[in-house]
Amino acid sequence: MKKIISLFFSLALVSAPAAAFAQNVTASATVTTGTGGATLTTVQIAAATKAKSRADQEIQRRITNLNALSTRVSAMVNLSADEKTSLQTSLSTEVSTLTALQAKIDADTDVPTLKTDVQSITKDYRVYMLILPQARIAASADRIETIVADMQTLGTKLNTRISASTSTDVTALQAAYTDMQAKIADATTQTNAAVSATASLTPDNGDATVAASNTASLKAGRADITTATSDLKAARADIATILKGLKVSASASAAVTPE
Amino acid sequence: MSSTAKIIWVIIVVIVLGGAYYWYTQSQATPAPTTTEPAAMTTTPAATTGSPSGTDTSDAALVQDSAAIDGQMSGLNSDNAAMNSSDQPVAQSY
Repeated sequence: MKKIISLFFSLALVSAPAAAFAQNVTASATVTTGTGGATLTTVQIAAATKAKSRADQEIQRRITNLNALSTRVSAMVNLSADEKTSLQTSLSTEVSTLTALQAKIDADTDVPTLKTDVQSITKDYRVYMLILPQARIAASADRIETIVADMQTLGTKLNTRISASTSTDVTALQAAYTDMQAKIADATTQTNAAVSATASLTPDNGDATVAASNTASLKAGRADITTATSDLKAARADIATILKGLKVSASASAAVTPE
Repeated sequence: MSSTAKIIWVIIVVIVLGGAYYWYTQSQATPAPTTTEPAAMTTTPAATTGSPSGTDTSDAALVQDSAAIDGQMSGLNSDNAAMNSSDQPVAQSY
């Protein structure tokens, strides 16, 4: 029995250091535990490497989203040049910041520093979590403004045709036209509300009150855009009703001459 | 049970416990990613035809204008899908 007890304690002593290091892993063979400078096990090195890999993955995902959003901003047609530049600058600044952080994490050789840098992806770079939804709402709003303008132009033409129509159901066509105008107007109102609610938000910088306010504003902005989209779908249905009442055939498009 | 057998059993128990502890510490240090693949923030397509313009009220012009609006509506659907997509971070080890 003494042999058993002796063996047990021997094994325990051998495994203890590995267990102690398990909570304090590092990234490469040159990484130390910070103040101690202890040599690390292969397992610990692998864990840190995995941590860096995941950090890279997280940062790269953000950069990809920001770059895609930058492309979308470039395609916006209802923003002024200054507004576009301002948005593009915010996006490119964030990309640069994240790129620098990624390089720093990859080069980290100290566990506490690596830990802090990895945590900073979510803790300190809150601007990303604001810019992304903000710009996406702006993109939808920009698209809605384009559709509203298109529908207004088409609406004028439809009204002309309705007025000249000899159809027996002109009243129904006029009702559809009136509803279309109301839906377009509401879409504009909702979109303006979405832009107003979200355009001037600022990063919370860890302030819970500001964070909650931003979240509420973004949620309200999305709801406004959703309502505006429903309005436009209803307006598009009105257009279809009018075209059908005017007996406009879809095959007529082949004969149109670009203006 | 002989002493040798007891020793073997103790070794097996220690190895099992050690393995369990190792698995536990590894699972704590490097949790599996919980993120869902983010919705692609694509550049939404432009309308396939030009935006409505002018005063041409012919059937062909009305159909063309409607098609242009449909193209923009499709783009709006893509924009809204991106707007409503969640952006969940990848779980980090630290």
